[in-house]
Order: sequence, then C-alpha cells, then structure tokens
Amino acid sequence: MSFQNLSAPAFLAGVAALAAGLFLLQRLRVRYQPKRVVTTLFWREALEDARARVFVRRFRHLPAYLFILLIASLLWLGFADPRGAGAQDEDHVILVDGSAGMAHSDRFQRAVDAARDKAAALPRGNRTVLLCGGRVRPLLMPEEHERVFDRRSDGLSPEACPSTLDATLRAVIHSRHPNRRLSVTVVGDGPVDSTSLELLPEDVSVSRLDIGERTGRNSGVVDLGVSPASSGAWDRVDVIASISGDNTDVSVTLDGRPLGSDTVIATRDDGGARLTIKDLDATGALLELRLPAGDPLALDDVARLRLPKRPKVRVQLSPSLATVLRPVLVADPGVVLVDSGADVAVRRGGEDTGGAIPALEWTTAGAQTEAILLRHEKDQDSERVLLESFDRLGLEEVDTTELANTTEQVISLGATPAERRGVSIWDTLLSDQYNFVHSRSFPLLVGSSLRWLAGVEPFPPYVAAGEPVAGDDRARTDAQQRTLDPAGTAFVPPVAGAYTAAGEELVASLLDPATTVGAPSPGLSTSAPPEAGATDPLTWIVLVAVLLICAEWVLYRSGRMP
Amino acid sequence: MAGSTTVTAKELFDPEFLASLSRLHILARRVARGGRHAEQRSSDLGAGIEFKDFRPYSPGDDFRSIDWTVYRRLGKVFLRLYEELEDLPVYLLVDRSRSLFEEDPPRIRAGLRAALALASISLSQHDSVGLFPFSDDVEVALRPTSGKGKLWRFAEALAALEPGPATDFATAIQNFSAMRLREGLVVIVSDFFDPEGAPAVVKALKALRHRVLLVRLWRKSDAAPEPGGDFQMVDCETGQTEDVSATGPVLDAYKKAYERFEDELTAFARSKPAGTLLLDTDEDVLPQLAALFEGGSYRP
Repeated sequence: MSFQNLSAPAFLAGVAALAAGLFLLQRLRVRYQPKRVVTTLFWREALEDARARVFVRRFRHLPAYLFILLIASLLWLGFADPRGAGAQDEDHVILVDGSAGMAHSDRFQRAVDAARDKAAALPRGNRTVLLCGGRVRPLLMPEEHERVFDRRSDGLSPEACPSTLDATLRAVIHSRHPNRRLSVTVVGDGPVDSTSLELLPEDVSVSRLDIGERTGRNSGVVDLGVSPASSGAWDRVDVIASISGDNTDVSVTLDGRPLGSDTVIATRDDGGARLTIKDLDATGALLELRLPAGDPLALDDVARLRLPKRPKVRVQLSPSLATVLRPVLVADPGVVLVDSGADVAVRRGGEDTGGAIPALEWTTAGAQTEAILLRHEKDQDSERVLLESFDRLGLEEVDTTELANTTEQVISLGATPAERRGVSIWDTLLSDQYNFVHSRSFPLLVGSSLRWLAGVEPFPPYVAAGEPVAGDDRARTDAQQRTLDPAGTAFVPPVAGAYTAAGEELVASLLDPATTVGAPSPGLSTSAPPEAGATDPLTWIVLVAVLLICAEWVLYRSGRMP
Repeated sequence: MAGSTTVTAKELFDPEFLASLSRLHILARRVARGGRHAEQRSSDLGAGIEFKDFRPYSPGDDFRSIDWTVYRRLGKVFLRLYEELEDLPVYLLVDRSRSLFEEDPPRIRAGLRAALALASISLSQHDSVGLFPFSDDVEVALRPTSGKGKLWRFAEALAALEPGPATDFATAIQNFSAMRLREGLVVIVSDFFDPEGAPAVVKALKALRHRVLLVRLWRKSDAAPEPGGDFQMVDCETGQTEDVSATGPVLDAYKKAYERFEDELTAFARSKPAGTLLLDTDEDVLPQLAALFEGGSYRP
C-alpha cells in the first residue's frame, strides 16, 4: 500500500503521534460536568475503594480511547490517501491532446475532465499529465495535488497546431525509467503513428481514453503554398491552396483587399477544392483564405501566407566585363542593369565600379589563393557560409575537377569575414580556353552570386504550424515576444501565427489534413474513462470514519461512553 | 426539583386511595400499658371481650366478673379476667431533608402517601397517631391523636412539609427519644441517606425504645447509576462534591458501597427486630403497601 499525500513512515509516525496525543489527553485533568445527586455518600466510598486498590490511577476509559484512536487513525489514513499495492512499480503518463482538432465542439473540455478523473485514480507519486499543444507543458507532475491540475488547466484552449501526441509519446517512451513499467494514456483525437505502436517496448503500454466520437462534417484549408510564377516573372509568384470538405466557398484577400474571382482558379472535386492564384506581385503582402463560419472546427477555416519579396537586383556592370557577362545578366529575369544606384557591382578586382557596395569581382589568380572567395558579414561563421554556398550560389553545379584539369591549378573555395559581402573569382576562369563561361553552371553561379550579394533570401514554399520551414534556421519571436531558436536546425513554428526575425515576418497557418478530416488512429486500444469515485478507498475510509463518529455520538448520548 | 413537595393535601386525601386501605390493619402483638381503650391487645386485664385468665376474688372486685360456674364446681370464688384492648401509639417520623425533594418525581411524594396511608389505617383502628417530621432535628407537627376525623389534618400537615437541611439521624432520633412518649410504633419514612453513613443511622435507631417500621424510599438508580461520563457529583443536602469518572471499577465500587448500606439496614431490622418496607418511589404506593400488610394486617 502507498499513500498519495504521505510517505509510509510519515503515516506511521502520524498514527503514533495520534496515539500518544490521545493518551495524554486521557491523562489530562478531566473537566467534570456538575451533576446534582441525592447523596454523594456512595460515590465517596466508591472512590475511596477504587483509589485504595491501585497505586497509579488506571488508564481511564480504555474502550473509549481505542474507539477515538480508531476514528483518528482512519481520518489520518484518509488524509494520507492510500493506494493499492503494485501501483508503485508503474509510471503513468497521460497525454492530453491540445491541438487544433480538439477545438471541435467541447472535446477539449471533455478530454481535460477525463484526464483529471484518470489522474485522480492513479498513485500520486507515479502519474504525470502533459498537455500536447504547440509545445508540451505539464498539467500535473508527480506528487502534485489534483488542484494544481485545475489551476493549470483553467482557461486553456486548443492551439492552432497539428497534434503533437505522436512526437510526445515517443519522447516519453524514450525518457522512461529503465526499471519500471510505463503506461501511457492518450486523451484526444490526435493520431499516433502505427509504427510507434508496433515498436513499443514490452514494458510500455499505450491506450486511448474514450471521450466519444467526433460528429459533424468539417471543412478547412489543408494546403497553402507559394512558388515562383510559372510565367517566369521574377517578381511574381503563384499560390496554390487546397480545401477539404463540402464547404469550399472560400474568400481570398491580399492585405485585406478581396481578390477578384477571375484571379482565383478553383477546381472542385468530391473531397474539396483546389485553388490556383497566378502572378501575384511578390511584394510581401499578406494573403488570407477564409472559409465561412459554421462548421464544428473554426481553427482550420483561416489560412494566411506572407508572400515573398522578390525585387529585381540592380546591377552595375564594369565595361571591362561587358563582353563576357552582359549577355548573361541581360538574360537573367531577376536582374536589371543600371548605371548608378546599384545593389551590386560586377567588376574586376581593383576597379571602382559601383563604389562601396557588395560586388562580384573577377580578380587575378595572384591576388587570392582560392579560386572562389566569399566575403561575408563579420557576425557569420565562415564555415557555415561556405557550406551553404554550395547550394545557394550553385557551386555544386560547377565541375571543379574539369576546371582544375584544364587550368592545371587547384580550384579551391574559401570564405572570409569582411565589411560587406563580396564574391571574388579568378578572372582566368573567364578565358575562352577553359570553357567555363560556356558551361550551364556559369550563369547559375553569376545569378546566384548576385542574389546572395543583394541579400535576396530564398522563400519557403509553405509555412505550416508544426512543420519545419525550409531554408530558415533563424531564431524568431512569436506573438507573445518569446524567442524560438531552432538551434541550428530548421525553424518550426509551433502554432499558427506570425513570427518575426529582424523585422521580417513569417506567417504560419494550420495546414493539417488530419486535423480537418479527423482521421482515427489505427492500432490504439480504447479504454473507458474511470468512473469517478467508484472504488476510491478514500471515500470508504471517510465513510467508515463518519459512521464511527455517529456511533460514538450515539454511545455518548446513551451514556455508554464517556 | 427542590423546594416543594409537589403534592397538595387534596391530592393526598384521595378518597379512593384511602378506601382501599380500609381492609388493612396494624395489629400490635402487645401494646404498652396506660393507653386508651382501643382495638389493640394490651397487657392490661380489664373489660375486654376476650377471656384471658382466672384469679381469686378479693374484696372490692366487680361481682359481674365472678365465674359462678367455677364457684358451683369448686366452692371457691374466682373472677374471670378479660384482655383489655388499648390503642397503639404510632409515631410517623417523616424525613423532610432536601434529598427527598430532589429528582422527578421526588421521593417525598411516595413518602407522604405512605405516611398518610399508615396514619389512615391507624386512625381507623382508633390508634393514636403523631407526626414528627425530621431532618437535622425532629419537630412535632401533630401530637399523637386519634379519631378518623383527624385524617384531613394529617393530610394538611404532610402537604405542608418543606425541604429541610441535611439529614442527621443521630440528633433527630435522640431528640425524639427525649420526648419520652409512650411506647408504640415508630414509622420512619426516609431514604436513610445520612451524610454520616449507615452506621450512624443504625446506631441512632438502636437507641429507640419503640418498635420500628422502616419505610425506605428508594429507586432503582440508587443501586445502579448510569455508567459513563466524568461528573462532579454535588450532594444536594451538604453541597459536598465528588469528582467521579464513572468507569467500570468505580461503578463496581459504588454498587458494593450501596450493598453495604443496605446490608447494615437489613441487619439492624433483623436484630431489632424491625419491619422494613422498601418503597419504590417510581411505582404505585398502594400495591407495595399492601404487600407489607400480607393477609390484611401488619404485626410489628
């Protein structure tokens, strides 16, 4: 047997203290109740006789003492809140789904209530309740009282994010105690990967608490993505969206202004609709898709996307390079040649074309050891810049082996901090004898370098809550001014909303088909919620104590107990 | 409830109750000389109707008493002697100490009814009856008197009794004895709870020259008080207190003390000898009184 509120030694010490305290109370001077009698003659003689027989006054009212000790011990036992044997060998974790799917009618409140009842029936020292929303937060930790659960769950609501039950389940299993069994109870609709269930260790069991089925048909935006315009225009993008459900009557706005129906191409089928919006200006406007209200789940009725900013790069080209590079730059739709006010200069090393701005420079082999040298901001790591450059600058497309063979020189790549960005390449590579300028990698290298130098960042094709944002590893601040640092990996917006980094806003949406459709999770057994107070020993203990107190009162009133 | 008898003379003078006493008699084995003519057999030989003895004639004797049949047979003159019937003085000593006015119903109610019943029986036999209430001393409420017509006075005198101080048998009996009344029947109506204990009561009673009838007013709770509780027992007469935790051993000791009290009174009654009437004050008086007069008469 274990106790919820006390350790076993503390419980026993309490019983001993009660016994001692009650004993002392018995020994204390009694407050006698005056009673008028016809004579005290016989009482006086009786007391003299009783006193004469014992040296020390006998323990008074032993049955009454044992009776009150029993009542006090029962109340103490009730306070200790005992639990059955065997419960100490198993840890219990209750995962409450706090994702957007639980906003369906009153399912979240039902899940919270069911989790509380379940937790109340488990050993206090071995149960944990976690809320799995955009981030995992504890609702009840071991040894905490159920009132803590109430306080923490008060005012909570589902968050606009996909279910994190599966990821949390794997983390809980991974961090379990090695010598104890683990019982995980899932409360909510979020799916659990069948593979996770099939690979469960023997000492782990997972079940789902039954809170009823979802009812009613739901519609929601399940996809929203952006891509460079299929028309080829650099400063335009195409948007693609998918809507699941019967109600596909979506309204589309751009910075709050509705888009004309001629702009939005909708294709409907049995499962929903697919929208295509072509040639939107890539100026950073906020695109919003909104379904009419009325279905059971509101969180998936709205999706937003911050369109990328894709201005053309203004390039000032040195005349000394015009013969070789002008055709390349003219062919690039993202570049416009200017004579002044350029974003980037293309020049030979030592020239002053464009002034102190980022520049793509062609320099002599003697001026630098590396065939291609990247200059980056001083707050960036050279190694990382170098690694990223293979993709961003298209260097992986350059056949460096061929170049090395033809130039009979080592073609190396380097990076160094500098005042501003710059790319320096040996000008010997521009020679016709090496065929580099005629390769397909050359315009890619030039165009990518110019965009990197101009600070044009690649835009993610979509931003969904709970999913990594491609190409974005910056620490961002959410709406509550909390900084979310991906710590070297891709940034994952935990919930739908806006996230900023250096003034640049990223807007994530709930784009989760599982949330909208509510597909059941296969392979997970369902358990009935505990019947509140059905076998709670505390109830029985208090009941017995109350009955004993009543019995004592009856005995006292009848004069059979002092 | 102290301070009142809670019974009036009218209540006491219940005709139905008194009528039911008509078949009861107190028959003294022999009354002392010097009484009035009544219904009790006396040691005097006189003008009664029941033949007692013969004696030789002596001058001056009443000729009407000469047994002429004996004279014819024996030629000597003898007188027939008849038993003289005289009255039996009954002295009702009614305890009016405060303990008799406690509890509900107070013991004095049964005591007064018993006293009036005995007075009624005696007066109906032309015996003289006196009323002597006592507590720490004895007083004379009604001097010995006879005649059925006096019964109402007894009822009034009994109903007028007020609670007195603590019982003091030694003083009360001593002062009663000092009245030097003609030997008769002393009926003591009391609970016999003297603060000095049963030995003091017995010692006082032994000094009485009269025949004695103890009418002991009791109730069941005297012998077996209710168990449990811590009480400060306050003596209603003396105000003395005893702190009592009514545990099993204490209750056992109480019962033994009460048994000793009863044994001492019983032993006195046997040795005197004296009659004893245990009157349960919670029960009807008449049936208990009738038990005393088994066969219709009580012979002290």
